[in-house]
Amino acid sequence: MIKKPDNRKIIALAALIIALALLVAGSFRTHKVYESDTDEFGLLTFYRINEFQMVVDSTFHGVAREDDRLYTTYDRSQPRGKSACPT
Amino acid sequence: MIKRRITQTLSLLLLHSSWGPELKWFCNPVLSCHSCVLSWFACPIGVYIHYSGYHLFPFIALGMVLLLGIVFGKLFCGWVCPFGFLQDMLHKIPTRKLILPKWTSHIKYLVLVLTVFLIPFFLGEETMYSFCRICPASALQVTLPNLFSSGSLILPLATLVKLMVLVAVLLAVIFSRRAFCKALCPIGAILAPLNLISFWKVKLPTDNCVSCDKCDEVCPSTVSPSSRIAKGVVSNRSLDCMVCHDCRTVCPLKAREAKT
Repeated sequence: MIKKPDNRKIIALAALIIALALLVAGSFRTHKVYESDTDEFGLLTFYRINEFQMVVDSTFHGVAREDDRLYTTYDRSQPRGKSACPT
Repeated sequence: MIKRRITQTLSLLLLHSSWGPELKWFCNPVLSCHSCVLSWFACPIGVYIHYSGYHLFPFIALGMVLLLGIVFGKLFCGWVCPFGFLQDMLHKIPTRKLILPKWTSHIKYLVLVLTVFLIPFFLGEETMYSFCRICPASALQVTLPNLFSSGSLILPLATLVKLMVLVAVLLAVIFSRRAFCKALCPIGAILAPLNLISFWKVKLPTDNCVSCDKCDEVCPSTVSPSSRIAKGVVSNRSLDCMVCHDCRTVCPLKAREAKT
C-alpha cells in the first residue's frame, strides 16, 4: 500500500528550498553603491558591496536611493564605528 | 514555564550585550531594535523597510527569517523575543483581564504589508509612515534613552507619536495578554503562516485526552490547543500560537507519562 504524502510536509520542504535558494542567491549578489561626489574628472565612482554588507548598511541608513541609484551616506574608506538608524 | 522564563531572561541579556562588536548581517526574528547600542543583530523589519525604500528584494534577510520560521515556527516569539517577555511580565500586574476579539489578529498582516513594504516602497525608507516610526521596541530601546541623554524637554511630533504608541501598547498588554503580538507585530505576521508548516512540534498525548481543558486555560495566545488535540493535530498548528509549550507543561497526561 502506498502511503499518501503529507501535504504539510511537501509545503514545508518547498518553503525550506525557497529559503535556502534565497540565502544562496543573496550570498552571490552584489550592489553598486555610488559616492555622492564625483571625482576630479566629473566621473561617478562606486563601490561594489555584497548583500551581507547591504543588510548591515540598511541597519543605519548607510545607503540612500536617489534617481534609481544607491549612494553611500558615509566614507567607506574610513573605519566605521557604531551607527544608529535615523528612523 | 520556569524554563521559558529563564530562556527569555537570558535572551534579553544576551541579545543586548554587545560591548562593541556586532553581527548586524544576521536578522534575528524578534522585535529588538538594531539601533540600540547594545544590540548584536539586525531587526528584520527595519531591514525590510530599508530594502523596500531602496527598491531591492531582501534575499538574505527574508531567507534567514523564512528558514528560522520553517524550522521553529513562532518559537522565537514565545521563548526569545524580549518585547514578548516584557509583555508577559506586564500582564502579571493584577487587573481585570480582557481577551481581544478574534478579528484583531488580522490587523498585523495589514501592518506588515502597508508599513513595512508598500509605504516605504512608494515614499522611501525614511517616511514617517513606516513601522519603525511607531515601533514600541524602538521607542523603549532607542527613543527613550536618547531623550534622557539629550536632556531636551521639547519633543518633536514624531517622537511624541512614537512614545504615545509605546504607552498605549504597554497599557494594552497589562489588560490583554500579548495584545501587541496578537494584533500588531509584523514579525509575528511573517512567522504566523510558517507555524502551520514548521518542523517544530508541540506534541501532546492525543489518544487519551481527557478534555480537562487545562491547556486552553493556560494558553497565552488563547488559541484553544484542545480543539486541535481532539482532532489529533499537533497543538502548535495555529496562526497565533507562540509555541510557548505551556499546554504541554500543564497537560496531566504528559505528567503521568513522565512518571511512568
